[in-house]
Amino acid sequence: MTLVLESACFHGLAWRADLPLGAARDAVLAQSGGGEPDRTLPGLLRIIRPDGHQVLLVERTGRVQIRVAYTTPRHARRAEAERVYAELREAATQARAS
Amino acid sequence: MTLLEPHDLTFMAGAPYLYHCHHYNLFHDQTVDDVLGEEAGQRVRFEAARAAYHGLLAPLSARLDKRTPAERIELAQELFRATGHGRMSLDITADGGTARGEYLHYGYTWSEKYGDAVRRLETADAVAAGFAAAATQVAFGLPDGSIGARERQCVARREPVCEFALSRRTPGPGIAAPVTEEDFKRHLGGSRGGQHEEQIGAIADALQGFVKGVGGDERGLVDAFGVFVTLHLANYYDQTAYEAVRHIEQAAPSSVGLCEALLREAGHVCVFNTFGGILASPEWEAVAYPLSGDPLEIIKGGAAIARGLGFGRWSVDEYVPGQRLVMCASSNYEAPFYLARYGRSDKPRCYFFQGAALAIMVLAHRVKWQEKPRLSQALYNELFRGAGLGFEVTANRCATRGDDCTEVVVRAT
Repeated sequence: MTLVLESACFHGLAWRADLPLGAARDAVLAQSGGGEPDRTLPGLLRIIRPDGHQVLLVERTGRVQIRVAYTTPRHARRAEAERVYAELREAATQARAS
Repeated sequence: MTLLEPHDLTFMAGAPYLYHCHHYNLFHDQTVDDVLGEEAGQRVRFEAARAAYHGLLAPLSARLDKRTPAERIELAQELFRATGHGRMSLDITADGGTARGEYLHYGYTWSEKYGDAVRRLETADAVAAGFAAAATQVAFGLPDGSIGARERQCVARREPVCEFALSRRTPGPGIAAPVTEEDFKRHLGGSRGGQHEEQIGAIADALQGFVKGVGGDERGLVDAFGVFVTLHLANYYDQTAYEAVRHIEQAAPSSVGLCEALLREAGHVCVFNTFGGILASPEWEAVAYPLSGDPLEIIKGGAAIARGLGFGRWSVDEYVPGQRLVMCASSNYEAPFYLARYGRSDKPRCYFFQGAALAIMVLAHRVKWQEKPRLSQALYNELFRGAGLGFEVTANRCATRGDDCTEVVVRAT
C-alpha cells in the first residue's frame, strides 16, 4: 500500500492512493461525511470532504486519487495527503472486516 | 453559451471563448512581453483584455436585461468568478474608482508556480485590469477605451492583495471591435473529421459536457481534471499574439522567426501541461481509457481534448507511428480572428496549432505513460528544450492564407 505523488497543475496536490482491491469503493464513500458523491462524469466518483480535500475513484479501474485543497500551503500538502490516506486505509480495513 | 457543433467552437453572448490553464496563460503573456518589451507588452495585453471583455459584457448585459450600473457590475463580478479568473470587487463610478482582486488567476498562479524561486518586479494581472476597465465601461454605457487601469498592488510582487486604480480617459483612435461569432461564421469553411473519428468525437462530446458543468469555486478558481483552467476569450489570445507578430514584422523583421517560434512554443506548453494533465487524470481514465503506453492513445486524445476545450475541430488525417502525423483543423480559434481582423495572410499564421500538433507527437512518443510520469518542469525541459525534440512541424495549408483548412505535418527528424 503506497501513496505516490501524481501530476497536477500545482505541485503536491494530487496523490495516487493504493487501497486493497474490493474495499476502495466503500473506503472512498466513507469520506463523504454523509454527503452525496459527485457523479458528474460517468464512471467517476468524486468526494469533497468537509476539510476541502477531494477523493476520486475511477470505478472501472479502481484508481483512487487524493486531491489536496489548493489553499493548503505547499509545505503541508504531503502531510495532509498522508492524513487522508491513513483515513482511507482505516475505512478500507473496516469495510473488509464488515 | 453556444457550441457551434460542427466546428467545436464555443461562444458566450457572441464572444468566442475556450479553456486554457495557467501554465499556458502565463507563458503566453510572457511571450508577448518578451517580444514587445514589458511596458508595451503590458499595454497591449491590457487593451486586448479590455476590448475582449467589453465585447462580452456589453451584449451579455443586454441579453440578460441588466440595465442599471449595479446590475451590470454584479453580473461582471459573478462572470469573472465563474470563469475561473478569481474574485474581483469593483468600487466604481463613471469616472473610475478602484478594484480589488483575490485569487486572481494570473497573479495567484504565478506566485504558486514561480514565487519561491523568482522575485517579480512587474504586476501580473493585465487581464484582470482589462476586465475591471471593461466592466466599468459597460456598467456606465461608455465606449471601449474610456477607462484606463493600473495595477498598483499585486500578489505576484509579494504584496498582500491585487488592487487596481481605474480612471476616465478619452478613447484613442483605432480601437478595433472584437471579433464575434458572426465574424467566425463568415470565415469558417466546411467541417470534417479524420481517422478514428467515432472515438475522438465521442470523447470530445463527453469532455464538452463535463467542462460545461464546471465553474469557479468560492474563490473564483476552476479545478477541472486536476488542472486550473480559465474560460478565456479568444480575442485576448489572438489580438495579443498577432499584434506582437505584426509589431516585430515592422520593427525588427529579422526577429520574426524567433517570435513565431515562441508562439509555437506556447502550444508546446499547453499540450504538455493541460493535455498531459488531462490525459493523466482520473477524469480521463473514466471518460476515455487508461493509458497503456500506445502512442495512438495520445494522438487520438490530443484531438479529442482540443475539441473538448473549444480549440476547434482538430482531426488526425494520417499517422505513422514514430514517423509522421498529419493533423488538420477544419476550424480553430486562430484563423477566423486573423482573417476578420487583418484579411488574408501570405503565409501560415496558426502558430498555436502548429506547436500543439508537434507537442502531441512528442507526448505520444517520448513520454513513458505506463510509468505514470510527473509532468514537471524538468520533464518539460528534457522533452522540449534539450538536444532536440525528435520531430519538426511544417504547415502545409493554413486557413489564414485562404486554404480550406489548416493542416500541419509533423515528421521525425
